[in-house]
Amino acid sequence: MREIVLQTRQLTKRYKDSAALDHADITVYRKDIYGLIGRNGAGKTTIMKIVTGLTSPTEGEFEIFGKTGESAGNEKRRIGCLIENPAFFPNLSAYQNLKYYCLQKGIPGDTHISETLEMVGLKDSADKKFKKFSLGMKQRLGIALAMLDDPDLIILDEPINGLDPIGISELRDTFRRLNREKEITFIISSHILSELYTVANRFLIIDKGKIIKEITKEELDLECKRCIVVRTDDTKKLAAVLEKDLGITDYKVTDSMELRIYEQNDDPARLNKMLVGRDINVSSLFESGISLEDYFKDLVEEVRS
Amino acid sequence: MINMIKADIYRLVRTKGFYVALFLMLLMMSVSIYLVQPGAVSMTGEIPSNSQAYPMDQITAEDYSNMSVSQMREFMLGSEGYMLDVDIAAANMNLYYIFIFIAALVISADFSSGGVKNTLSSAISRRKYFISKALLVNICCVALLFLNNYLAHFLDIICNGKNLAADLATITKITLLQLPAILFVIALQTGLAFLLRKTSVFNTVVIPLVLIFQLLLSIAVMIFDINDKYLYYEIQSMLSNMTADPTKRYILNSCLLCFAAAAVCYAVGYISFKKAEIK
Repeated sequence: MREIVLQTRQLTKRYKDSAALDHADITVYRKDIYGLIGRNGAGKTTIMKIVTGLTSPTEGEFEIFGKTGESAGNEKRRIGCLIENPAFFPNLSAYQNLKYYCLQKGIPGDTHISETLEMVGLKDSADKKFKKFSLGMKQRLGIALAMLDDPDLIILDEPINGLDPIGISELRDTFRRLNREKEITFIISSHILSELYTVANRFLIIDKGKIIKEITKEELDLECKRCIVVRTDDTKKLAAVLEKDLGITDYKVTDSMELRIYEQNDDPARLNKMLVGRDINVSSLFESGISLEDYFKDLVEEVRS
Repeated sequence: MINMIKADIYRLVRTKGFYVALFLMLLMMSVSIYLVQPGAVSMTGEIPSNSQAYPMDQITAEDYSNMSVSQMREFMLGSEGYMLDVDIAAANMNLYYIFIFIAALVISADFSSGGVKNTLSSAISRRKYFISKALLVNICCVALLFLNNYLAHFLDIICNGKNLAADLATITKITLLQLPAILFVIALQTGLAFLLRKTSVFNTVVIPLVLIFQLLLSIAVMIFDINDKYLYYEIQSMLSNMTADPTKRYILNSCLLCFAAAAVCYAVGYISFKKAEIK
């Protein structure tokens, strides 16, 4: 059984009349790269702020590294994070800012700082003052801080904001490498779904504070893959006909009423005719297969309607 | 907590504001020593001298206004029994404005830059954060009090001679007696820094606070005909009175008042910080 790093139970945060987070249940496993997908104000940052202790929940609780309540606070040292915008002292250089946090966390030596700055591509700007940094450089320094302490869990809120394409690609590789080599768990939120898709292995889709879906990358691939969706009252019979009579093996029964055929099929009308001819009660048959963005939009609209 | 204080000292000594605060303190002291009279920021502009031998009391306002700076200095240097270093200590309410730099640099700057998010999300708890910040502000401000009183004493001896200076034991006693009032001033600023958080808001409130308080107090005294003895416990009077050989009862009452007020300030600051959402 996989080790759970973070688990929330009915986590809720209300501000006066509105709920920024509404009874959210999420589970993040060790070595996950967990992507939070949602529009502005969906509740992604609120989850991160609650978990890191920057705000307290109105209801519910969360368990981090197996600890809840007050004792969860002691696990903070195992977390590195960048929430909202990167915040540093403007009059200090990149190196001095990281040195400040090293002293604060009791991290000895200076080699760690140089290594981390190199990892995020800021080695040459180590002595440059933070106030003179571009947006992308500030973002990199924020990521460097999150990685500084070799944490077990890194929480990054919109980490690629302001980064150039090469920087995004380099960071993506860094996240993957840290996840693979040091077994660091990541929770990353982003508006750029295609970028999140390339790094994350599990996704949480959230809208207006409500969890819409928690899905693995494999499941997401299946949901988005081009296919023919057949709705019927007897998926077992349909599966048998597909395999025996039509020789189709690449399909998946998604629920008791629905089956998806992933095998290339140029003529859905002909398929429909063949299924009806074999006494399959087809209630609907249509082509599917959408982009990640469309999938997200459809899901949100479906829940809203 | 020690790590947190170490980190803040590392940052503080790399901040211009810290040196500006030290410079201003030295500037005020140097002017006072050159003019051989203390300066004070107060509603009335009155110099809070408790010395029986304050030379300016012996001349008329007209004579005073006709004197040049060098004549004034000559006149003051010729005064018998006047202790300038004691009167500089009596005007220690000036340090209130220097302490604003410290509280703003140690606490408010962290909130304004957003650095507090980094600390609270992965380093220490809010309680430890509050204690370490308050402790550092106390250490810095108390060090400034000692520096101010002792440096004024030694510079007074060097520049004006021993005749115008008290002995070291008297300066030490005055400094220790002033400590409760100074600790209250520190607590007030620490509490306000945690309550108001952003540097701009903190400065807007804390800079005119003393003058507004004194103005309201003067109005209250006039309207409600308040007994003068209660005014001895006003913070500026308290700091000044501690230099004039106060009674044991006065010292005790002042200590109790200052510690109680400091506790309230810390409690308000902590409760507000504990509940706050960090942005």
